[in-house]
Amino acid sequence: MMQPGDVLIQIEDLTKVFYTDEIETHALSGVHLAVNKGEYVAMSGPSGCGKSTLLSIIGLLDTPTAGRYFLNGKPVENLDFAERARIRNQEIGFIFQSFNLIGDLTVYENVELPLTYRQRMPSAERKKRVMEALERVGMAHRLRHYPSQLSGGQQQRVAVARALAGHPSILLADEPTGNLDSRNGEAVMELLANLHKDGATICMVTHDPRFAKHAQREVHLFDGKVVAEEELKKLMAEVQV
Amino acid sequence: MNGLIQDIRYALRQLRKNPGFTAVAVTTLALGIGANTAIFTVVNALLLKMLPVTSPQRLIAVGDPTNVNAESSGTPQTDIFSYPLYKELRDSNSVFSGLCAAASDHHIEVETGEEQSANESVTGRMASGNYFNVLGVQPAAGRLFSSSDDRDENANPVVVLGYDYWQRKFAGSSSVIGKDVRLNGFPFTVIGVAPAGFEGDVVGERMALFVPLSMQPEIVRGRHWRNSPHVSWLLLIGRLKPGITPAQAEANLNLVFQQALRGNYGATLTADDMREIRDNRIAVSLGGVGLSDLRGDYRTSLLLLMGIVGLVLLIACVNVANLLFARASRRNREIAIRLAIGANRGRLLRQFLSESILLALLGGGAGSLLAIWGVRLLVGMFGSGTILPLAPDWRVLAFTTGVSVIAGILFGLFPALQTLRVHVSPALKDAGRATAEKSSRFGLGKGLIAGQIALSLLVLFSAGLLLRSLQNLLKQDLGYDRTRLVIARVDAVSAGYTSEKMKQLAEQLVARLRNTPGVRAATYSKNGLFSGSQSAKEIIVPGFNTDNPDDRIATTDNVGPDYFRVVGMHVVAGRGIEARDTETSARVAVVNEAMVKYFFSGQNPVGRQFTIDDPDSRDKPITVVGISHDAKVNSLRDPVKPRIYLPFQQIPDPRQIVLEAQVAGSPSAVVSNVLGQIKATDSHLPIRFVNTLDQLVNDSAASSTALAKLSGFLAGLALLLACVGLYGVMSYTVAGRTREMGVRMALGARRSDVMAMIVREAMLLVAAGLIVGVPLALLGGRVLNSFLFGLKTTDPLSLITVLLLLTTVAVLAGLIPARRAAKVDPMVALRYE
Repeated sequence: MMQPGDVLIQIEDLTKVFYTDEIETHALSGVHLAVNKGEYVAMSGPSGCGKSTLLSIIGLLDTPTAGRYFLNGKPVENLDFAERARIRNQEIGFIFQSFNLIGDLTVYENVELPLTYRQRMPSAERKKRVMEALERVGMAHRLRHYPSQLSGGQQQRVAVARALAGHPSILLADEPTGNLDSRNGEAVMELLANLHKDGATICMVTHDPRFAKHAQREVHLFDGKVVAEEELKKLMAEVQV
Repeated sequence: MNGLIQDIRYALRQLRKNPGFTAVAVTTLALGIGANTAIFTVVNALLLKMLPVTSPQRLIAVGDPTNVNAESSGTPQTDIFSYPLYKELRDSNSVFSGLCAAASDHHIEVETGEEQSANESVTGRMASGNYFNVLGVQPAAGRLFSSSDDRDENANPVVVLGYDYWQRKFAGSSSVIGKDVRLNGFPFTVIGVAPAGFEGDVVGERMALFVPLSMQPEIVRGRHWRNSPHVSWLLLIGRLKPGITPAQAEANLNLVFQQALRGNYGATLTADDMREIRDNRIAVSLGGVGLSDLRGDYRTSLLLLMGIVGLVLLIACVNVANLLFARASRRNREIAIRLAIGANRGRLLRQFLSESILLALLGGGAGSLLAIWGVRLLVGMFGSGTILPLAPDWRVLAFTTGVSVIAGILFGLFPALQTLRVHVSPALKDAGRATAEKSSRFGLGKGLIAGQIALSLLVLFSAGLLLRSLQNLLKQDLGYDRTRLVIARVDAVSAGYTSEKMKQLAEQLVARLRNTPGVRAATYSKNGLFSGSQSAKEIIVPGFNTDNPDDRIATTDNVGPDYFRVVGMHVVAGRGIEARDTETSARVAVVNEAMVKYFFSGQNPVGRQFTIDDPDSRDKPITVVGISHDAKVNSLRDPVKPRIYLPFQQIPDPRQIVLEAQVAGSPSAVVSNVLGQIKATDSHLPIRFVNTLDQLVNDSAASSTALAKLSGFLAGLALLLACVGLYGVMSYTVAGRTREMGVRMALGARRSDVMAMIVREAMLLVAAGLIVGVPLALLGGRVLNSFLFGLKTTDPLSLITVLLLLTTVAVLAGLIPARRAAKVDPMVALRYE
């Protein structure tokens, strides 16, 4: 049994509906999910199943239409923009499929960026954290380079360093290997595994079963709902038929 | 602080990475901010800059500080002062630690006595002995004169040189101290040099020298103004005692004035004088900014121009805002990343504003360079003799910086706020989806363009009104042919001519002029046409009754024989002034039609009599012998006033001679001949000016001309900016809709259909702008009411012209992107994105 104090993310009956002019799209319907501190969870499912929407809500980039979301035991679904920004900055580290580094900033500046949004962090402290993060991902030798001067794998390592620099409670990775070749993809997965080994909590969205296996636990989504692995297989088979 | 430095560093990098964007934005802003800086530099020099003296904020100007070069004989004045009234105010006030008086003379002939140095005519200031002490000025060399140098008339012929004149004429040599120079033929001893930067208390004039007031009779020869209560010629500046406010100073001066009227000063005045001035009030104003007649002429024009350049800057800001809108849509992803990693919107807003303010400051810097050229252009409107303190000071710097920062916030805020509304998740996942938001996001940009067109219409309409007004002003019928006259003014009094001799001189001069090549006919008068001098008298007309003496005033001139024929004024009834109207003949006058209408109820006054209401003339009735057609004689703007033309030969004291020569060909070709004939008559006769009447008339409208031309230039700039803005928005719209164009053409649209669609969209923007702009322009036109001549603020011709102009130019601006849209290859377009 999980102890209440160990739960980092608690999601109850979460629903997300997108409204366009005439169409209502239910991206998530009654999702329940709990992620413990130090856990490595992979979220998988077919394209359009709602896994990225769920990750966006977990990362406070989006808000649910209904349901409850507790982060570190505190409800977060109704926070104002400034408070959500503060939590994103201090509690969450993002790793995106397309790296999302800022092309006009150097490697050092990209990694430093989240720290610059923190109030009163001395520059010496910022520098220490940036260097630690870059050394951790093996990119400390490319401080002055711009993203365009790096390979895809190197860019994703810099993105991981940026996510780590703020010492977040949780790392959220959205298809972190999606834009990488298999060798670089494996390297990034290894990096995430090492981070997990050192105590990081990780939620990763992937549609690739090979990478999902790196996680401790796999959450399967289908049509906006969390389903068991067996049920997913059955549903997928039905779809194929 | 650290974050701000990072923002600025990043902003610099952004600008460097987008040189095209930076160049266009900086150039646009430079034009807008530069125009503002140029106008403000002149406003600052003329209206705001303090004199380089001790504590200028404690100085108070007494009287009308714009009446710098005025001199009035007759009824005492309280906007300029006689020396006796100045003495009363100086000695009896309790609010000033010192009160000084001064007047300028623009025709001081300087002879240094050195062979290689030619004589020259300079402007100098006759000033009370306490002048330098009150202003708080220290000498650059030698000493400055003091009260002890200004006690008895003509007793202390000393002169202080202006610093620039000392440098130019004497190479800054201190050996000139103690030497004699002749001023208007009278020897003066140079005792010192005024400090560098101090050019006197008159803004716009650089004084070459300063002499004590007691030397007035030797500077303005033939006139003894110093002890006359009837010659007002001085403006006063006082230094407030500690703790005294300007309002207290004004109250005290008026109390002293009233006491003076009841005391010895009042005893020197006639009953008529007392009646005229007993209710006058002496006004005071801040004196630290110096005195200036230019201020009166140009103050409102400059403030209006400030308003117009403000609008031009606003239009420029809209252009840059639209550039930022376009750029912002390419930065969606960057913003989404920053938001995702925890930047709050306030922090990002600060970053965007840092970028836009930095851009504006760069524009301000470039604009300051443009302003140097602009200021030169502006100063041209004041005339060649004007010297304004135009060196940029902290005020100009603060203004340019302030305007740049405000502009940066103005054009940066909306795009920044709009950018911050990015949807983070889609932008992070798919940059393409962000593109789908472009057109809706650019809706605000289109709205801004419509606003920009409305503002441009306002500026264009204002300029149109001012230009049409100027045209009306200059093309109006003056009542005579202004293109065929040469006018000259000579100062016979200074040359020692008595009244009797002066009348003979006038005849001699005219006789010579008549024989001058190119001159058809010549005459003379006291005031003449547009010569800067005028006279007015209270008159008594039997049957015309009024309680207010001011309602009995008519302007007057004293003219020689043949005056009306020579200047081309039509005598509509009776006769003109003729050679038979001599000193001993019956007193006669020709009156104008306005006089007939006002004083004689429109009935023919020929043969009727009136008198001039002063003690010397009341018993000498004047018979009207003719009526002249109404003519404008001094001002293009003022309506024609009742005017009396009296024979020159019948006035006891003519004081000056104005010569009028009618020429056969081009007047400017005859100017030098006229000058030569005057010199040939008497080589020592001071000639105040010789010029074509056309030029004198144009000079009298200098401020209107400058205002109209400058507003026309600014309107052109506004039009250019608005069209660039429209072109930019339409180009951007077309570029973002390449695929749509391809689809349309794939579905059968012809190139002309696509072109028409884009032009229609551009015209919709223009129409929206015009719908807002027309009422705005009509409202704005009301502000110009006092500047207009011969047209209403709703002048339909001006409005229709600018509407057509704006629409035509806007169509052209829309056509270029429309042609580009029509050239889209459907196959290529469908593969696009």
